[in-house]
Amino acid sequence: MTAVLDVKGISKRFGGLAAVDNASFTVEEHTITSLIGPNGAGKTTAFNIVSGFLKPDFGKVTFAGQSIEHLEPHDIYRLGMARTFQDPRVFQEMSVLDNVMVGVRQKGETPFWAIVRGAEVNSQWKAARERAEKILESVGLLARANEAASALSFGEQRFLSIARALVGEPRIVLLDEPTVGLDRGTFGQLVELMKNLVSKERKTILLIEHNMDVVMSISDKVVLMMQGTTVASGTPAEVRSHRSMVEAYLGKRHVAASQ
Amino acid sequence: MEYFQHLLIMVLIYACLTVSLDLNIGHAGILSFGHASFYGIGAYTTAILTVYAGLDWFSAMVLAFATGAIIAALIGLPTLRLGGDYFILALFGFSLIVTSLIINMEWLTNGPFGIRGVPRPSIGPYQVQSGYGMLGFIAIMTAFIFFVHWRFASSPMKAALHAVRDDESVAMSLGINVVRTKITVFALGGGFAALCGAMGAFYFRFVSADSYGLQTIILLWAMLFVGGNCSLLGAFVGPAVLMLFPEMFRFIGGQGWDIGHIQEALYGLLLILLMMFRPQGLVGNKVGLRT
Ligand SMILES: Nc1ncnc2c1ncn2[C@@H]1O[C@H](COP(=O)(O)OP(=O)(O)O)[C@@H](O)[C@H]1O
Ligand SMILES: [Mg+2]
Repeated sequence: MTAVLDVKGISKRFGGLAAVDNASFTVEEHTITSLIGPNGAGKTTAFNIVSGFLKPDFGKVTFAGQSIEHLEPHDIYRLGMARTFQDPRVFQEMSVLDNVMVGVRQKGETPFWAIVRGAEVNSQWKAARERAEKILESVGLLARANEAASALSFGEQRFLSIARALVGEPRIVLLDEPTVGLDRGTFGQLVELMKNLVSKERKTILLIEHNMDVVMSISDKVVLMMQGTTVASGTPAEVRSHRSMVEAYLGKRHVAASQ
Repeated sequence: MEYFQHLLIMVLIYACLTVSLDLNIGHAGILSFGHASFYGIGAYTTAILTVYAGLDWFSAMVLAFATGAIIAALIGLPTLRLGGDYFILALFGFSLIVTSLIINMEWLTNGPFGIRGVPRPSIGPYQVQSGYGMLGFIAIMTAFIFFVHWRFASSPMKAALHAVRDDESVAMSLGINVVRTKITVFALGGGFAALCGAMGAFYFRFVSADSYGLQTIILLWAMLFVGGNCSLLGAFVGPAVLMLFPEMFRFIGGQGWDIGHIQEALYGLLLILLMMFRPQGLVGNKVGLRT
């Protein structure tokens, strides 16, 4: 398996605080890699560095063989990496369909081609719409395509934000705590969706996830982050046996008791 | 009848200004306080090029558009990166500078006296004269400007602009070059405002600095919000209401009643009532203002 994403020694300070401190990990193609760790460990900051929203103070990020740590978010998206945010952040006033279609980059969005149009512009637009509808169907929101996004429940908005990130057919998608706030039914639906993305659509997922059952059941690889540093990495079983992991998630008492 | 023609022409020119301001404010969330200045820049460019340089009206009009767009891009480049409120202040400063430059660069602008004698447009041997000819010319220009803005608003450009307006970070995360998009839209707004300046210069045959200052900015914002954001119809309705509103008082009050002094107070009252009871404007598609 080749690493489609290679993060090497990234660091980021905010004032005196080292939010990310010499973190390294790789993500192999067609796998799910979970980034875990306690609140404030620097997982979201690492996402922001990888997706171009923050420039690292040190370190390298290589995506599909290309060094990207100096690139802007929009360039990185165009290379085939999409991300979601911790909150759904859907465009509230836009329709559900338009929300998804924003994720498709096309000729007709530039002023000149918007005026002139022509066959290519129109066919791109039509294709974007069809792709958006297909993805909305896969997340169960097609029936609500023409409603305002603000009419959706929190859980539905979360699915919409994921659909929006998928519509551009990214090679890798970064999901920041996608299961938080979902009820039991939609929770299972999302886990299924993630599994299918990798097994059927041949996507790659980098996931930040707090629910250990989800992490242990769907991850091919788990990366543990503590205080800005990646301290362990391996299969779910390997990381589970790691001492600091046990401390972080099961509490110090458990470690003391097991010694 | 002539007066009615005049009113109609004014409504059309303001409608064109409003629709291009709406491209900035309504669609892209760029709260431009410089629109009246680009309007003035277009008017002066047209007057200088036709009266002093003897250029034909069409070339002058194209160059007015280009000048407005280029100056807007140059101003937008450093200022659009600022936050919303700083951007408003920066553009406010810009509009003061433009007014001051127009008054003080006498060698180019004839200072406070303005420039007279802008020629009327002509097509072949046909010279557009006052009255219906001029109304026709302004109507054709209005149709063109509205056509372009309709194309913008009925293309994938609209969703991209609204994304930038509503959440810049999410827009970036979806591959939209936010800075470039904002500069492009701001330059287009500047260009179209300048084109309106050219239309005004051809109509009045006269340009002077006091038509493009703070009062005009406030009037344009009022027209946009009375009509409503993100609406081609609103860009007509706002100017129509605000232009015809004082006329109603003129007729009701009889000839002797000068409403000049209370006109602005009435505008203000109208705006307050509208924002309280109908924040989306009379026919707008977007609720209120967001920064
Ligand atoms: N933009 C920022 N400015 C200052 N401090 C920040 C910023 N973003 C994150 N931090 C801090 O960096 C640390 C790591 O945060 P974060 O990456 O959000 O952690 P996680 O996602 O693992 O919970 C936290 O202490 C947080 O308060
Ligand atoms: Mg986080």
